[in-house]
Parts: sequence; C-alpha cells; structure tokens
Amino acid sequence: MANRDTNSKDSREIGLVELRRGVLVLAVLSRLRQRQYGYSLRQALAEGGMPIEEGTLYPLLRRLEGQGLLLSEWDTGTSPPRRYYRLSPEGERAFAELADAWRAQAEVINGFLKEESDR
Amino acid sequence: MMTAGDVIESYVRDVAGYLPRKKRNDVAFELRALLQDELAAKAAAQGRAPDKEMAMDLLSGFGRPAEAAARYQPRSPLIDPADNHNFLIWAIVGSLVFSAVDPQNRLASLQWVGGVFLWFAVVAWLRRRRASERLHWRPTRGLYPEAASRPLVLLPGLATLVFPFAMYLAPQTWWRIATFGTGKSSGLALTDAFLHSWQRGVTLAGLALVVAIYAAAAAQGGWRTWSRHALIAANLLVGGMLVVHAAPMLTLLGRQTFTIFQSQVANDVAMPIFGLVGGLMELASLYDAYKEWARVSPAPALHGAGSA
Repeated sequence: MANRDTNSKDSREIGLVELRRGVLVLAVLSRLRQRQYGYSLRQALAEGGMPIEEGTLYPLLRRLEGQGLLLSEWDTGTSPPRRYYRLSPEGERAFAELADAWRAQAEVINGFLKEESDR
Repeated sequence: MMTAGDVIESYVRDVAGYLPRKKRNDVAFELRALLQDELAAKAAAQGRAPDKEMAMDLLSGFGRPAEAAARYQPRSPLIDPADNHNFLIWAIVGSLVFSAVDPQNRLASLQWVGGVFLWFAVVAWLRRRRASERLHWRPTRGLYPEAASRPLVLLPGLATLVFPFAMYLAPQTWWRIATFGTGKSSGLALTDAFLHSWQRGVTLAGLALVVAIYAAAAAQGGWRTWSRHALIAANLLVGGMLVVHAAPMLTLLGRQTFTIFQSQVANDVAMPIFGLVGGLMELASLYDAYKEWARVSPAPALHGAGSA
C-alpha cells in the first residue's frame, strides 16, 4: 500500500516536471526582453513563481543562443565577469509565436477543466 | 584542505574536459561565475562563509560533471535506445551460442558482442544521417505468413533438397553433377564409419524434415502454428548436428573417433565450416523462436477480458 502511494506521488511529481518543462522555454524567453545573466534570470523566474534548477537553466540558455533565439555578451566590468543574455530579433518572433500557442492551449485546457468541474 | 573555491575549480575543470575544445573555455568561464554566484547566495542564506561541504551540496544539484557537460553539449547515444531490446537479444543469445559452439575460444563471445555493438552503432549513425532509406521501417508480410503463394513457400524447401540435403547425402555424385562431370570429387569421399554413423542419419533426417515441413506448408497455402514450430525445431536439430560435425566424431558405442572425409585436407577445411554454419543456424533458429514467442497473430486479442 505504502509502495503504491509512493509510486502515485512519483507519478504526480513526474507529471508536474513534464508540465513545467513544456513551458520552460516560454518562461525564459518572457524574462529576457531585458538583459539578464544566468543567476539573475533564475532569481527572476523563482520570484515569479517558477523556480528552475540551476543545472537545467544555464545549459538551456546556451542552447537557445545556439538556436539563434538569444544574444549574449560578456560584461567584464562586474566581479566576477558575467555573461548577459537577451532576446534576438528571431527570439522576439519565436516568443510571440510561443505566447500565442500557449494562450490557445490554455484556452483548450481550461475548456476541458471547466467541463470536468461542471459534471 | 580543499576550500569551496577549489571544489568549484575542480568541478568546472572536469565539466570542461567533456566539452568540445572550441566551447571549453567559454562555458567553463561562465559556469565558474554562475557557481560562484550560487555559492555566495547559498552562504548568505545560511549566514556563514562558504566551505567545501556547502560547495559539494551546491554541485550535487548539477549532477556529475559528465551529466552537466551533456546538458551543455547533448550527445547522441551510440545505440538508439529504441534498439536496446534487439541489441540485448542478439548480444546475449549470440554469445551463448558461441560459448556452446566454441568453448575453447573464450574471446568468441566478446568478439560477437563487439560485432553486434558495432553493427547497431553504425545503423544508428546512418539513421541519424538519413543516409539510407533502407533503414526506415517498411511493412512486410512476415517470414512465415499464414497465407502465401504455394510456389514461394515451396521454393526454400526445394533449395534445401538440392543443397544441402542432396550434397550431404552423396557429396561426390552431387559435385560431379554440379560441375557437369568436370570437377574432381575424390576429395569428397566419405569414410565408411561416417557413412554408417548415427550423426549422418540424424542430420539427414533433420534435413528431410525441413524439406517435408516446407512441402506441407506449401500444400496448406501458408504457415500454421505447427509448421512454424516444427521448422524451428528441425532447424535447431540440423544446426546442432552441424556443430557436432565440427568436433571429432565419436561412435555411439565404444566412443571411438572417426573422420567424415577420407581426405585429411577435406576434413581440415570442412570442420570449421560445419561449426560456423551450425552456429549461425542455431542463432537464427533461436531468434525465430523468440519471434514466435513474441508473435501477435492474427490480431491482438484480449485474454481474460470480461467485455470489450
């Protein structure tokens, strides 16, 4: 019985992780209209209600930069020197498309949830 | 005594070691700065100076250096995860067969596993490059369809009748006919001991059984459960007997040794071939047996379900 409860809890946690992973890119892009470095971005996401593991976020920034969605530059005037990221023009377009897709998905899911709560 | 800074330096150095050369310096420089930020925040939250334990605790969230590096530079798996199942079956069954066929050669199983690994790795690489359309899935009717053209089912049986059945039965005559009377067949002369051996009798019976099963399947217009199972059993029998041929022959009574061919050269050439062909037949038959066990036919059915 205890084992089944543990499995059920694990499944719920996996579901939540999957859910958050799906919107992670959108959340990151939304915070990068202003330039941020890795740690400050993580703080901004956490304060907004979306804490992200550091080991996940920092490589993601590199990948988004590699995909042309972000631009980065080193600021050596700070100690330690920091790499700042912000949206590229391509990132602006991608963000707008993802935001539209998110709103459409949210509307669909809200419809499903409303049907459930009306039963 | 390592400080928190030493721990971070060590971690950054190890992560960088897994990255492509052109990325190393840049990623390492940024990662060090980020870890220092994270450590300073952690120390401030705990109200004490950072130490080795605090740094280790922080780094546990990043995972092993290889894992952290893989997030910066994702690597393709050497074997497609989707192929793990097939890889394990071929590797395990093959190594078991090689251990049985050639117990003296302790490296044979390892060589087989290495060969299978290389094969799957090359296939995965080709798939990623989309170099070959042949590697894409295509629908087939299966090796043993329940309804099939009679001549097509009979053909492998007839082929078995000509080779190896007829050749095994009378190798000299077979060779003379195959070479239109021009080939020398004296090297294929069998010893009297082999001609009257149980090994030859059982092998001929196995080969005849294979031919008969193909004929029966052709007569039924396709394969049934019994004919598929019988063919696997007959092939296992023939493969096993060929493996027996690769070892010195022993009489049933008295356990005296004898050779297959009168010519020693023919024996030296043929025995490894018997072993190889027998081993491959065993391997293929065991794979067929596995496919038979995993077969869903003719359509997935619900067992023990109360209602659909």
